[in-house]
Amino acid sequence: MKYTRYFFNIMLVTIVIVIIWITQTILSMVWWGFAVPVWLLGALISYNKWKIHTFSIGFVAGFLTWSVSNLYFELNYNSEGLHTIASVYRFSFAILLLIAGLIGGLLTGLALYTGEKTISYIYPRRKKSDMVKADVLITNVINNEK
Amino acid sequence: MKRQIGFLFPLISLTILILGLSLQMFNFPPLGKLLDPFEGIVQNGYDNLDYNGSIHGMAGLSNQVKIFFDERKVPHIYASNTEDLYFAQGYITASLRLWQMDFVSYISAGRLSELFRDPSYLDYDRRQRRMGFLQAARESLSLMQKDNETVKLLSAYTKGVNAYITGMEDRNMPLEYKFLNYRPEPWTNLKSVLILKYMSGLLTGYGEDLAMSKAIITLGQDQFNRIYSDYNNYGSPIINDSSQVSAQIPSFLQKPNYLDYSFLSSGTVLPPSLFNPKLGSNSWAVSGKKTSSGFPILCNDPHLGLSLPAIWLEFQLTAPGINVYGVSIPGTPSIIIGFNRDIAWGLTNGLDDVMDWYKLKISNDLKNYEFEGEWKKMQLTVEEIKRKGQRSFFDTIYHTIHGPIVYDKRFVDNQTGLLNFALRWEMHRPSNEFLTFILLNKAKNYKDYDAAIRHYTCPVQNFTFICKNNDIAVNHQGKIPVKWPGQGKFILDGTKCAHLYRRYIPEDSLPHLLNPYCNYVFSANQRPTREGYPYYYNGYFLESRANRIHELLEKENNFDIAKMERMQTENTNSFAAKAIQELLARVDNSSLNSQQQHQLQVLNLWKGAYDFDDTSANFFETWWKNVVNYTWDELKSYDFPLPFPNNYILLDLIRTHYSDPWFDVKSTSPRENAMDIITSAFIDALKESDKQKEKGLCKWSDFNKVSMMHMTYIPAFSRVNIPLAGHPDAINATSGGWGPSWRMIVELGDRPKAYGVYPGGQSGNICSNYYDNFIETWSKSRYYPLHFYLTMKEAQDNSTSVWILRQ
Repeated sequence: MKYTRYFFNIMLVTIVIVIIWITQTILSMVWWGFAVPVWLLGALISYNKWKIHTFSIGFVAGFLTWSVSNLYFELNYNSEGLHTIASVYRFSFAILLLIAGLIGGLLTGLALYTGEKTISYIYPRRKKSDMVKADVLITNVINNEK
Repeated sequence: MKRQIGFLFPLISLTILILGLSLQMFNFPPLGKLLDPFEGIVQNGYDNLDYNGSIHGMAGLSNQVKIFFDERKVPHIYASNTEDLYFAQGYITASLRLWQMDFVSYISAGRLSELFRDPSYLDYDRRQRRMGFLQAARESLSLMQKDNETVKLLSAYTKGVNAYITGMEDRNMPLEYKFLNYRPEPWTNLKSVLILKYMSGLLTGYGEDLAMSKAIITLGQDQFNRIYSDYNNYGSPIINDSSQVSAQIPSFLQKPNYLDYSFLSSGTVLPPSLFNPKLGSNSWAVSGKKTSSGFPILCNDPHLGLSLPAIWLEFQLTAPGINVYGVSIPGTPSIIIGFNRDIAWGLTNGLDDVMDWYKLKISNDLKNYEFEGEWKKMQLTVEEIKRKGQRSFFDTIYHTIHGPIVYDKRFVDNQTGLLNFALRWEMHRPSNEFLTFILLNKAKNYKDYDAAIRHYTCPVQNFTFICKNNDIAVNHQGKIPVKWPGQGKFILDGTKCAHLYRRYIPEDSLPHLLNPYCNYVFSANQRPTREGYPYYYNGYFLESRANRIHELLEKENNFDIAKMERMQTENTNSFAAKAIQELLARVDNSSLNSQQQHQLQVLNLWKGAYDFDDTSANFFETWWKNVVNYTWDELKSYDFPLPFPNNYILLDLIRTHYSDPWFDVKSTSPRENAMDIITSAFIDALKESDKQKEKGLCKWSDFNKVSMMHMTYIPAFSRVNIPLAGHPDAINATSGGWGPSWRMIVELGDRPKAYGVYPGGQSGNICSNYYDNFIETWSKSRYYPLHFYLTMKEAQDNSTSVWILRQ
């Protein structure tokens, strides 16, 4: 059960990362465009009542995408663009990657979380105490019929 | 409620985060856009110079164009007609230097307020508009549009630039746009002209009219002529012909009658001098009669502000009827300095004063000005200065027959001395410089060259020229008004018709030489004529480099490329070489201790060389600076600072007027003479030198550091504090932020042999390997061979990458 949960979380993180990549490379929208499909995913998670820590999943996915992608492109192009920008602000390259990761993480986490909360807002969840009352109501109806 | 907060809070946080990361906050650029891995800065690591293949969608091309990049990524363009050729030049230039050329056009037009919020940029923009750059560009463009060839080729260039902008993906947008948070706008012919006007402003925008007016009133004409004379005994003019003597133009300037204290405003503050004596260049040409190959050699190194991206961009342009190699200015078509199969040409700044201020008499309602006893109505224009995030600023500029009023009560700009003066600047006159270069690029002989340069008007430039048939020439070229003696050196009276310029020095009377008997010509910003030239002219001429060039050209008879390379990177300051002897001869040895005597002996061996490891050069600099300051102390005592006179004037004073009152230091009671000044200057210099040695500063390169600053002045984008040899008064004129922005040596023959280098790289992309890869070669005084291909096959065989532009 525990391992299933971990596997499910990792799968979700991967899905979010793929969503970000597809949105930004193929659809080529504004720099924050990926927040829209991520938000939709958050809504879907909430609609299906999957018990997910949306902000954490989103944050990890966004953090990894932004920091690792920046590192990948910097190495792949064999250039020092990010290193140069880091030196403008007297950061180290690692700190700049961390900042990039934080930005990606916060945005993705918030987008996924907002998606979840949107559905909660539109379709309010029934409280456990209400569910108990309903059970009592149904039991009473059945007993009355008997 | 809790549900609502649970939904709204993250939504609002998300929105604020997106907004905050999309905007410039404090001094940080929009971090979200910048660090986006897909379209942010990291994507600028992709270098388009590594691309190899076709590029489609070139609307405006009639046929395909092939561009072969050599190992230094110099593009060799092969087009089937000249329109496509210039289209391609525009496209390539935009690919490599879009932000640079775009930004310069904003600077020139006074549009920086559209990019930056800081209120100081509004002042800058107002100054640019009032100085007339944008208006001058508009008027020159109107003139150019009357010439079919110019407008055809200029428009083709513009289309090429726009083809690049249209096809550019956001992720490939130059880093500076991302950093400064704006986007490129479509290119226009006007923007190309603005870039030319910017160069014109750099090269002619200096003036001393107000300072000289104050000087002649304060010092009197006798002293004024002693120390601010237009001529001195140390020149090596362009024209050596001493038979052209005329008694009509005296070199002694009378103080104009109209010029007195009441004419100039009282209590004026003179702004600090903007004179940059480093803004000059060298060029010389030697006939085959003095070369070992028998073919002529031309050398040119223009001195400009050293910036990154580099000010020049190398090209070879080939189409039917044209095959030319050289450097271009990003944003403008054609080759500005270069060579083709038959000729080569170079440029140095003429340094003539073509900028004058006219004092006006203005009516009380500020709408009219007096001219020859009558009131004339001022014309006015309104310039809209758009501002980032704010409403536009509308500036009203008043115009007179002389030119615009730059400084008035609405815009004082610390120029109280020029308040309500009109500016007459040759740059304001419409001109078509493009035609000069379009024609020069395909010129085959002296006749073609002569016809081409006649279109050139401002700034005054010295053109040097060689032809395969061994013609060599130098021309001091541009529109220089005919002046009465002293006219233009001082503030002029805007109420008088007699102070207007009526005509220009005729073309054929401009200083020039063709095939002189000495078999060489040279130009290094020196005064182009001796006394006796039939027209008065004034300027800000520099003699030291020309003197050294003259000396070297005279001595040698078997020049080749290697000798020219050594000459072009030579560090001897001929002024210093002369001055050190005069100073050493006049030091009072008897008052010196043994350490000081020893220093004198060391200096005795020094020949004026500012080499990398030289240990005497800086001492001389300090010693001479002290001599200058102690001699001219009176000039600092006025409530307005006066420029120090020419160094050669002081040298003459030392040689011939030992006890001149100028040597008397006012703050001391004894009366000093030249020996006293020189000795105390020497002792003080030695103290300063000892302190510097304690800090580990000893060699000339410890003091002479050169920086190539990016146009944003961000150090991380620049190359700073490179220790170098050289001196502004030596042929190798490197210093501070100025120096040889391009070095070129061309030997014509059956096939031109050429060598060149500039401190930068072909790419304007900070992340590119080709951004600054030439700097080390340049700083070590080495050169690259320039590949001038005669056929497309040669270009193809030697290329490292190829672009094919297709419709």
